[in-house]
Amino acid sequence: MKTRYSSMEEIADKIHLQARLSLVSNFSNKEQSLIGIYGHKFNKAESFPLPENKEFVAYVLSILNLKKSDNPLVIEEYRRLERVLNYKRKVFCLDLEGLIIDNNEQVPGIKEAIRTIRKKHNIVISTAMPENEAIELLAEKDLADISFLIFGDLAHPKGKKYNQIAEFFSYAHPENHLVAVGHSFEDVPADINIPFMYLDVPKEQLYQALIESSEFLSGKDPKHFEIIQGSLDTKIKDKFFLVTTR
Amino acid sequence: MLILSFNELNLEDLNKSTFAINDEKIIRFSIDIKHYIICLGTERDDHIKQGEILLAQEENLEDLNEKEISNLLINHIMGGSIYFETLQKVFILLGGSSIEQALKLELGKKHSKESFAVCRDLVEKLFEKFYKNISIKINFN
Repeated sequence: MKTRYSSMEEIADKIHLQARLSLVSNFSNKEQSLIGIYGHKFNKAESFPLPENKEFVAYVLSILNLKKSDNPLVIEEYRRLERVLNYKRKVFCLDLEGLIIDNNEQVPGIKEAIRTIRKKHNIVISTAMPENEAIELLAEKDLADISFLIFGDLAHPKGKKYNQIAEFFSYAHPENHLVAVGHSFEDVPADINIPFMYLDVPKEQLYQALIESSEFLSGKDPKHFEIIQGSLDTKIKDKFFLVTTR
Repeated sequence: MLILSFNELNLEDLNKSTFAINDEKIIRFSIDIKHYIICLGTERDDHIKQGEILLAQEENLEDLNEKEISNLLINHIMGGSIYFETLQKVFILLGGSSIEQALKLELGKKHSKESFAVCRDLVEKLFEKFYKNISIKINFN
């Protein structure tokens, strides 16, 4: 039976609280976690994440698993947390076949690489494969516990489509947030102008190249690889990063 | 996403921008009280995106430094949400725009209470054509 609330203001508070509870669903003490993000008025619709709690917000984001079924208020709350961190977090869009799974096997070290990157950034799967097949494949290869958001059917004659990922996150300027990563030119962004990291390295080095590429975008020099910007003559030239072995 | 001048706003646009969470209806908007513009988001256009789109409409931003941009935007672009079950009883929450969140986070600035009062008057006049029994709350943060 539906509970009635005395005012629309209470209803607004309730639906925002529900959205915020989704952000801390992995925590046992949800109320304390929400206080850690929003302060003691965490149950009021108008509350914002507190800028002084950056470290806790970063931790919350590192273990948060957004779902396709999350409602728009959950995504907006997620975005407000990103903003507290000054948008330093990126969303890495990883190709499935070739980068995560190759020749029907998990790419060596990839699970650990994903866990490492997730401490600082978000990761989604961007694949040409239908979404349900990708979910099955990840489960089959012992990768379901990484809890990715999966975007399927992204094939495009000139590469891959990424706009639906930008739309999911409501990014007005996806080039500031999304980074496409692939091991093939079939992963080149074809519909929006976002950075593309092309990992032109042997399979056994992919995991390390992935980690160093993510660190490179945060300003750290790569140790084992060379990263060259702008070496592809396409419309994303200035956003193309070729990652090769030194 | 729709960007309209205040006098262009109509009920059809509001309906297009309405989405539901559980059974409750919501419209997310941002308004520019300097240029009398309202931005209505779809389900996927949150306040942050709206703020970024309105910001992109400002002229000659590339010629300004961070401080000048903040001075341009302070007391200028505000966010709001409309919550309702029927058009007869509406709650509007104002403030907390993404622009203000950015100003506060990066530069320690906030919109003034006077600007929110202006915003409240504009919003009330704007929506009274469409809704009855509007209650408005301002979030001064």
